[in-house]
Amino acid sequence: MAGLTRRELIKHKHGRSGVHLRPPSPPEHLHSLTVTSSLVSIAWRRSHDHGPRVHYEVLRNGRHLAHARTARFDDHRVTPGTAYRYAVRTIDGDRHSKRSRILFITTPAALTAATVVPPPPSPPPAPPPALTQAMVDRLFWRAGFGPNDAERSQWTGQPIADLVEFFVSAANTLTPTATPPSYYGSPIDPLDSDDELQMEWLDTMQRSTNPFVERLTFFWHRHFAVSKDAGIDSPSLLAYRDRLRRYADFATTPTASFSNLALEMTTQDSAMSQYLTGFLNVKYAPNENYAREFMELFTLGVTDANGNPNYSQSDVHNVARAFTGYQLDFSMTPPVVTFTPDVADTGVKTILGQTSAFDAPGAVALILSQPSHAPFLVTELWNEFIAAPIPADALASLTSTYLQSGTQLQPLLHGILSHPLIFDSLDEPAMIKSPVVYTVGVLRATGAPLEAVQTDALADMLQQPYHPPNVAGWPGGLAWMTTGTSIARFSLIPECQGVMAALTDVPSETPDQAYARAYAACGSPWLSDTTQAVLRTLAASAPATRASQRLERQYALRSLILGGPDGQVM
Amino acid sequence: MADAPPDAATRCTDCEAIALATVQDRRASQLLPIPRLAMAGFADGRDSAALTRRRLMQFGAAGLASVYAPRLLGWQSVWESVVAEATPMPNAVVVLYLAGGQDGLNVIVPNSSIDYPLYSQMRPMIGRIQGPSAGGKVGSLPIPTTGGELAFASPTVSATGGGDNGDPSYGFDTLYGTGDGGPGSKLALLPATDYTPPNLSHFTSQDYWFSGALDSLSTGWLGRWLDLYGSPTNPLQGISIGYSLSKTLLSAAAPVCTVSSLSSTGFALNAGGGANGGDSRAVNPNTVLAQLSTLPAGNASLAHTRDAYGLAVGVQQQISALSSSTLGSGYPANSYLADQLQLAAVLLAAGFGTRVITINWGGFDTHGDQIATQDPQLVELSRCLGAFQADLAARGIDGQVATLMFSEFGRRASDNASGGTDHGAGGLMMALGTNVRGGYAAPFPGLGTLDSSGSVLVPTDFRSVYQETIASWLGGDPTAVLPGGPFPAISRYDSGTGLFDDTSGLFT
Repeated sequence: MAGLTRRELIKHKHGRSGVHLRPPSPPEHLHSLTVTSSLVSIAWRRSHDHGPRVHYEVLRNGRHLAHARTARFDDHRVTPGTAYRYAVRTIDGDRHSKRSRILFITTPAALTAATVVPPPPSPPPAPPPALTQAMVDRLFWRAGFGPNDAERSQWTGQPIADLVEFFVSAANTLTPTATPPSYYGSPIDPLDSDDELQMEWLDTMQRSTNPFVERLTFFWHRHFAVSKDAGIDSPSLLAYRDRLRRYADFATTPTASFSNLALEMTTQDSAMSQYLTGFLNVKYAPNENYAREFMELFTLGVTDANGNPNYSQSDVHNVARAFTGYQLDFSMTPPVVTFTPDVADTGVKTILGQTSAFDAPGAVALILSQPSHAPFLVTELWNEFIAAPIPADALASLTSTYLQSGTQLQPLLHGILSHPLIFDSLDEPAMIKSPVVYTVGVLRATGAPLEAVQTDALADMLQQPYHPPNVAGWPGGLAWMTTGTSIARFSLIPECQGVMAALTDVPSETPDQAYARAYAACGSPWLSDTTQAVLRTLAASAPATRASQRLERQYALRSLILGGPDGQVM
Repeated sequence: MADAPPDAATRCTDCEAIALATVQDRRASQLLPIPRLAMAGFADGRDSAALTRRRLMQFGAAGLASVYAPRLLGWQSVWESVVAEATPMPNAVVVLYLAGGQDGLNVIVPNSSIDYPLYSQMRPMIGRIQGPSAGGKVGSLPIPTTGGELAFASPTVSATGGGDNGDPSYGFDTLYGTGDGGPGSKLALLPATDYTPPNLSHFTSQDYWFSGALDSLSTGWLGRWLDLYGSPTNPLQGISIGYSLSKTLLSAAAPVCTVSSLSSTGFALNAGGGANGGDSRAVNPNTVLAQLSTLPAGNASLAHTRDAYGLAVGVQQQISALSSSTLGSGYPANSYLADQLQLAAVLLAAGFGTRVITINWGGFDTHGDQIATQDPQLVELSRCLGAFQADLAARGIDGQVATLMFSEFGRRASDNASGGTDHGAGGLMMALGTNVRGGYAAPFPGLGTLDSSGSVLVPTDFRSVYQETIASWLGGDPTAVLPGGPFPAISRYDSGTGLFDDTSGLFT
């Protein structure tokens, strides 16, 4: 990194997408850690604009001094009794921020031998908060599909910020498996059947090294919901899913923005065009289906915080007019959204109080500029990952982050995952796992092979990928848990056991050892103390004189640990 | 414009979802076993569209109702109250909601010498022709006793009536008869029934229809009726068929339920023993889960989860042997609607003191390719309603059951050149029953003057129909149930009044 000139650093003002990229934000809270006659140690708060290439440039007296990878720098090149002005800039790839505020430091004069008094050592900087194992588990459940033992040992003791940064910036790779998914004995082909289409995605979730990419992709599926029940072709669904993934994989697309996602959904996505009949929306017969849901469900909500409507029927109609012209060329596989000027309404429209010849990009931009948009989206994203309702100050701060970055997603998700409330109620988890999270969690914890039994179970739990019940997605929350779905969730465990290798009997196993073996085999998940007591009592009281009884004890303990009530919350 | 592929849905499929119309944030407080009732007639299977045992099992457990009530009910008192109310059977209403905004104008077709030409001009792609279907165009058959104003779309008419629904005996025509309100006339038509000003959002408009008000209330209109006139202990008085509670039934205090299904084994370990199981007599997971379900929890999610497990286990402890009950015949095969209506008939005949049953059926949001999507459903609807009426008659309860059918709004008078129609106002309501006064029961305002969204005007407020149902069928004071009333009486084409023939079954 050394030796880059300022010219080189600011070379590419416009990114490849043609959109003007905003520079990263400057570091904040620049402060000194240690000041002696021969050493000045400074530190700062890391920039929110994170990418894999973010580093910092330290300036002294207005000139480049050094580069720093971490948010701290030790300047040994100081002389006693001298005043210095320090500042720091964030550098992300070839873009740099404005400088931080200036830190004025004067080094003390050198002391003569007679008066040397070692300055009192500055208190060491407080260590960044470190992750306990419970916190690692919490983050891997909320941002992933549960932790495995390797991830626990890798991250326990590490700074919280590092794991958050991992989720929002690490590339995702797939861990190889000895038991690839199979569909009635054959390898899966996602284009072959509905089950296999679902299994392809579940397989990716199961084997992800950075599961947050898939969690966020699935959130976008809930948000910009489409359903295969409408007859959408599988190639379109895969293209739709891959598109959503570009807005979740920040290693590849660090500046991914909601604005671009919303525009792509409106003007490029075949699955969405089919689902909400955008392709039927033409100048001579505007079809309001997509326009309405775009505002009601995807961007604004029906009413604002004060209960006032965010848009009128006339707005729906005129947004539909602005969205005209995007037809589907069904001769391609998948069908391709093609803009046909002949059928686009280029007339003047009044939308949300503004009058202009709005086209689709113009209408999208106008809608996203409404004050209701940012709090609406921020709250939806917050509720996906955090159980407690979003406090007003967090809403204000995250909304500000989101808007100032130009609707970028990485800073917003970074902010959400960094919020202390994600660790709320650590000793008694307070969010019900969605069926997909629960099922993939069981697959990861048990190593069970992926077969049709899991997609069948997901149907009974009321959530199958690509099959939301309606355009509002899945309501989630307490609605996940009914008497029927509780049975379906429990039943997943014996179903998985049925496709795995048989357990081995350990004839000399004591009840405590039996419990410990079952618990470890389930990935040592959270269980309340009271639940553990009940299960230990079961282990002690279950008959164990015959091998079949001891096996039953193991199967039962594992089913109860993973499939019981405690296994449903995260 | 490119043609749509054959299997691409060209309708807003959010309306498929029963979930839209149902209550998400209230949980069942307990499960009630239903004796003398078995769902043994439902097929096992994986077809997500059919109401199979498998699908019914998703939401309930064995032969049980998921009960929504403000407090736990003692089983004895429930059955005592059920038995007390069982005979004679009080009047009951079946509320059939067609989700999506059904295009009433293509079901009951404007047929007068003034309206038909306008209709035909406004609907070049999807308009019906007059007379039987011919030349690839769908026909319409004039409805008697409407002064020539209305015609049935041919897909709703029986084969013997010259229509296309393929059924020799059942169709809207056979149910309507002469339309004179006499004994052979069981179907009342209420076109252009809705509210003003129209709201074209599915979610908002549904909410109004279920709340029985031009507002989103915290209760449904029949939930409120049950609060006032129902039983404090009988959850079977109000049943939502399907998998969750309809907002129509949402009450403040009266217990109501959703009907679930067949025997399940509840929680089971890997059965079949052998390599991947064990001695299945050693551990009963139901016992352990019952214990786990009673552990106190400090947050709502964990508490709700433990409760759900506990309720499911409750089935195992309380269910008693179910005896078979046969399902009615004559319904179309492979029909989700038929499955729900068959179940409704069984429940009504079982003598549980049921006053309200709700059924939801989606697929009516026909923004495009309407003929291909709505017409098969009209065939199914007309055949199912005919079979349902016959089923009730065979069970001897047809005199005590009235069925109301509605959708959350109508659709615009003109088609939209995608071969469909857009959200509009003034949709079609219907009432069906032996003691319904059949005929042309609400005025069709014509196509000469439309509202600003291009829909028919709305002379009849849906709350007038609700009011009449409460006053003359279920019994009670409508003004205590429906805010904003009283509403104008329904205005019939013939000289009769009201929607119902017979008031002898009033609940007192």
